[in-house]
Amino acid sequence: MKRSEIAVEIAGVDKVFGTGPGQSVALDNISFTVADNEFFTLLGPSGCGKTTLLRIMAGFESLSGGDVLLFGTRLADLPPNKRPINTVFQNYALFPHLSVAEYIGCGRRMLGQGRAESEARVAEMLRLVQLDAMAGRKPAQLSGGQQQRVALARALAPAPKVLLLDEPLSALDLKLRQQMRIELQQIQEETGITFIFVTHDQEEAVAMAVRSAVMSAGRRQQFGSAEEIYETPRNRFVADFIGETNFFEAAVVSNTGAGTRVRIAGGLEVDAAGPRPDGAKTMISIRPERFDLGVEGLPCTVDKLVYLGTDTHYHVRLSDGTPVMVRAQNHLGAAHAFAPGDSAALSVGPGAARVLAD
Amino acid sequence: MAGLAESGGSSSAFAPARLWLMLPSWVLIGFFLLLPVLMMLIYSFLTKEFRGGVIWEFSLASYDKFFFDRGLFGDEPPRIEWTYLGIFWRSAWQAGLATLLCLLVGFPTAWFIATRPARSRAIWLFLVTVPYWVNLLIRTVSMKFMIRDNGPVNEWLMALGVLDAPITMINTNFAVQLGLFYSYLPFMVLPIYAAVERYNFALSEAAADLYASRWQTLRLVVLPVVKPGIVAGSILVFVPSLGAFLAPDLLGGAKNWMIGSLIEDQFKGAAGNWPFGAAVAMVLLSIVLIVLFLYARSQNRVSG
Repeated sequence: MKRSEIAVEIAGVDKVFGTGPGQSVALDNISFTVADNEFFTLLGPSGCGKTTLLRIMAGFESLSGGDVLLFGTRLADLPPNKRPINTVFQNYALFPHLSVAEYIGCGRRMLGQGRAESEARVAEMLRLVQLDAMAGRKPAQLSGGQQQRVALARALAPAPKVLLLDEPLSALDLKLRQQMRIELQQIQEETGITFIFVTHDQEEAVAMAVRSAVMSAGRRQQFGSAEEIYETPRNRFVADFIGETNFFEAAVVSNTGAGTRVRIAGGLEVDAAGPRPDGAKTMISIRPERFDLGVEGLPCTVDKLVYLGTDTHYHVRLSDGTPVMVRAQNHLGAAHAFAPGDSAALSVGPGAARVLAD
Repeated sequence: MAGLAESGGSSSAFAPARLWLMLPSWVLIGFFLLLPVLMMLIYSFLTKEFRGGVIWEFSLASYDKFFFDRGLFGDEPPRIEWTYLGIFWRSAWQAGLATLLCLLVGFPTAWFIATRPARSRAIWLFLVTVPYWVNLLIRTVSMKFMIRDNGPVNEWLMALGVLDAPITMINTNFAVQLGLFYSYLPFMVLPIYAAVERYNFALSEAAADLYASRWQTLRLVVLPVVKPGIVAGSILVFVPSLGAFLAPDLLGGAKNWMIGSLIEDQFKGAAGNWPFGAAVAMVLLSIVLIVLFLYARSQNRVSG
């Protein structure tokens, strides 16, 4: 895959809605880049500004500050219908009066392409999203999953340079959503179009993207690969939003050489990676699966366990009352090692603890 | 519907309880629609009595008078009577033009109102309907006052230097058109507003996303989607315009009659001709029904 060229550059984008005392800041100095041919996700809770950013890229919202560049060209001056970008809308935005084939062909026809050429492209797109049999149907005659595919096909048909997807799978049920994730990845690879996928579902973002930008309250929180974001969260928001984790107030024991050694509740001392804390106290995160529940280590009591098939979640309590979440993989034939009320002991492997910047 | 049928304890659409519940609407439709129309139909085939009223004797004279000219004494070979057909033709184009003008003004108005914030929409709709709190006759008379030769419009235009001498607006087709347009504009605005208010503006964004210009978006997405509102508004303007009599009477004068004035005249005073008025009304009703039927059929063909 060619990774050298930058498809989209978001450079210090600000967006303010309203004026005067009633104004609200939707985006605050957002910057990141999306490489050509990349599957990129924009992840954040609802109201974090991710959809606003997408609408700015598509041209439906204006910029209050900063710039959006597409292959080095400023987009701000171009109206939406002049941008080589297509969007898969969250509610699909199908035209009720047009058949599937007419709708998919719409973009090409608007670009001035002849009927024969556009029909060939429509047939190609219908095959790509497996809707060959539905060409003549109207939107009202399609299921939710089929409508979703039509919305995708109609956005891919004009062969845009960048495809924006605004939570396209949120209205589908779990099975269909999982299937569409795989299909979207395949389609992205096949077409080589840069995908920018907006979602509030961290699992979806981690599963699909090569790289992600995590947003909250109009700010970029972290930018990197899914693994980087999960394993080395920069701050408390990211650690909390991506996956589950335990937060501990920690006292800094030593802050020299290889890393930071901290002491957390119950007197457990661990080496923590990440930024060097300034003071004597800091906040660390330890993922539930990084704990080992056994007989050696920090004494604790099992409060509750939740069996989840592949693994089991233990809610345990340290001797000083601090609750800790532990996740252990279930092995074939092995019974749960502990039952509620049992005494157990917690230990942490090296590299499990992570110092958070804020 | 299924729920109603079950709770009624019977699957028949003519269960006794249901018939009783439908009674008020049947009474309304029967007394105020079917019976009067039936009376008109019967009257149109009766013989006229001088001083108004009818003689109960079957006659085709009214329809004959409408379509054929048999000379002053009725003894010449029949020729097509153009007088009444001409009035019909004038009514059709006046009503058609009024519908078109109402559409051209009403659509942007409805669009404007529907795109205001929810709170101010109610105020705009209220403003559209305020003139209709005043009786149509009074509004038409005041329009006559406004556009007469020495009325305010002419005087203002002269004061502004646009005109040197007053232009005659009263008793022209223009005045009739103005009256129709003014009378029926809200009937265009309100149904289109209802359609535009339901319009999903994400569709316009989707069109722009597919490289449609603003004009293409209007033509290919907005108009087809809000078409039911446009059709409803057009029918609500065209049909009453076709039969209007106040505007042609008061603003158009005797030279610019429309069907409504013709019918009204037959039922007025001693010179009236009730069977002929009824016959003209039946011809008008038939034309309206045929047009609506043809439209409905063409729609079925498109969607089917």
